Amino acid sequence: MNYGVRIVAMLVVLAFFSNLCAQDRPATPGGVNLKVGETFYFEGKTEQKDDDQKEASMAEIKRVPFYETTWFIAIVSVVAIAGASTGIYFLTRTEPPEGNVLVWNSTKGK
Amino acid sequence: MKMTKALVFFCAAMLMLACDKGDTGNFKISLKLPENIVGNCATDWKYDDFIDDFCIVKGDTIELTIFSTDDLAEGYVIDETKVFPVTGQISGETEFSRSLRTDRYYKFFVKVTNEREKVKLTGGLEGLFYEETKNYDVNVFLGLTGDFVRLVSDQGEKSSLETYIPEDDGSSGSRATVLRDGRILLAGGAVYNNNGDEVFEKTTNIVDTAHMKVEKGPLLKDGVKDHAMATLHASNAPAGKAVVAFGKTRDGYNANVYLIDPAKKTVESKGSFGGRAHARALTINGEVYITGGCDATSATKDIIKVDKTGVASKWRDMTQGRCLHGMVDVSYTDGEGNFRPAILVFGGATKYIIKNTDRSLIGWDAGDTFAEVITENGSTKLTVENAGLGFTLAGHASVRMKWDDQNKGPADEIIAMAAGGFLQPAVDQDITLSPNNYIIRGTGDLTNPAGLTWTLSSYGSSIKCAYAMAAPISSPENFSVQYAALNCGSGKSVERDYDTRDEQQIYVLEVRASGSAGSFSLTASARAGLVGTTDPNNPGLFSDGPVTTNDFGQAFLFGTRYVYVVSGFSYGLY
Repeated sequence: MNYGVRIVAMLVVLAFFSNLCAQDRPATPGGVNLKVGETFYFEGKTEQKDDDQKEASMAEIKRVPFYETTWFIAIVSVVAIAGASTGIYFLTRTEPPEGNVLVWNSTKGK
Repeated sequence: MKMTKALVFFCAAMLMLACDKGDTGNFKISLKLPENIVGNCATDWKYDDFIDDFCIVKGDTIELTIFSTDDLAEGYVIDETKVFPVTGQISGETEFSRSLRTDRYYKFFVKVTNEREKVKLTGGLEGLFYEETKNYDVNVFLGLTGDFVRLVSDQGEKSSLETYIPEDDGSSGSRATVLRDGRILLAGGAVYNNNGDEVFEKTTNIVDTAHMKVEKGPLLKDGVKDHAMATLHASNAPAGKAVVAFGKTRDGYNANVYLIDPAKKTVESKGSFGGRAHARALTINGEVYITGGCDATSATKDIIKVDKTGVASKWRDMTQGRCLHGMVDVSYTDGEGNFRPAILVFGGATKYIIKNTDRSLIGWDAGDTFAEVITENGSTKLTVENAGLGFTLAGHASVRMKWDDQNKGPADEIIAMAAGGFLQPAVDQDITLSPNNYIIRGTGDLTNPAGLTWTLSSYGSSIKCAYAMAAPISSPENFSVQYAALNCGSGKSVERDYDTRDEQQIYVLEVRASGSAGSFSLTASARAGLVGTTDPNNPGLFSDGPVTTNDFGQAFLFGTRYVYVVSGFSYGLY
């Protein structure tokens, strides 16, 4: 891989993860309330509603960004751990000469 | 959050590091050793002299010479020579170059010398086009210098490369040539099986030593034997193309000249010139010249030339129609720097010989021309001292020997050696196998080969080889002895059938010069009978087979199932 491609790939990867982190930032301080329509609902202080209205409201309350979902975190974790493991493997192993090499081996006999 | 970011960046960096392992432009050369006849290089180290010959061991020196060119037509130049002392007992790995230049053709020559500075193993790789966007993992097969070994992909497993030719069924008349990319094309031939049939082969094989494999090439149009074959440096075909011309078929004689493209695996007819067999072919300045040939009744005088564009046409006529003759390149560069093709032909027969009673060797008729030189100006009949009326020789191998140092040998003369073949002792006597080696020597102005003074000398030999083939192997530089590898046909008879097949015999021919500049005397001999049923390297049974030499003077010999190699001593022929 030439250096140009590597730099572009690095930028893309960094931009992707930076964007993820930016999306992770809370929109407002406090973080305990959610706005539905024109009314603020606080945990433990919700008004009584009929069953259909209540179920719809709870669904909205439970809708979370994809990056907070279990499946997404699991996939990212697996990829990250695999990447880290691979990188550490290559970083720490004792390598033979890279590039243009000449090898010979007379160890095999009949 | 900072911890999360740090983890993400770390993982991304590790991923990039992992991706970085996909670097291109790497070039790995693995040295492949010949089949080890004595055992294990590791456990038997220094136990036997053979270990020293067949293994790379501590105390040895590996010399790698790198050549390159951006245009094969202009030839290679040496980039560098690297020397690596062997410090490990039996294996090693080293970087041989910081970088190779992209989009260039490379060839590599490897020479292994022992601690007494004896050159023991050599091999090479040629015609490899290097691109920095690819990775390369190639092999260099190291053969024994001046000795024969079987080509094996793995020394320990004794995994021999195999061709389409059966091991013991008495094959004959196949031909081979080294392509410009170092691969070898083997084509045609016939096999005598034990029920008396002769089966003609359409098959071709491409032997690739860089990747240690044999693959099928394109099928010939007809099953053919005793054809002519040589490599054409075809325009716009970096690997070159192979000319396959004429030959004996099941029902008669092939009249066509074919061009085989090994890259596209195609066979293309380039013209028809009359059926014939036992013509001879040489590559001269990249073009192919085919001389003579015969059928059951007569021999032709034709010389067919195939130019670099693939056009086949009649070039000149010989004075004498002949087949089974000797053919040697005696071309020269004139005073104005122009290349001038010239060909020496000598001996041969006037019809297709199949048995001892075919008394048709050139030499007994007063009108016969034993030897001639053909140039662009036509043919010149030669007067050869000691080869007058009654001297005959056919079915012999012929090879030109060259010296690089005029103080070590006759570098300013034309020396051709002939070995094997047949003689006809008298005009009314049957053909017998020749018991001699010969040297034909031309002295004088090499820019006028037709005007040289020619002499023939004979040397008794212990070998007899019908339908012999030979090719030069490289000699040490500044050396007084020059070598060739001889694929000796069955020494039993002129006849070829299942019952006359014999063990394949491989010899190293040598011409030794002694004396000083201007007055060298020469001797010719066949060194070391390389045959024997107790030898694990023992070749199979056959009638005859071809030999071809690569740019490094490394000879490859065929005729039985396996491929045999005789390596030269240096990186090129002179």
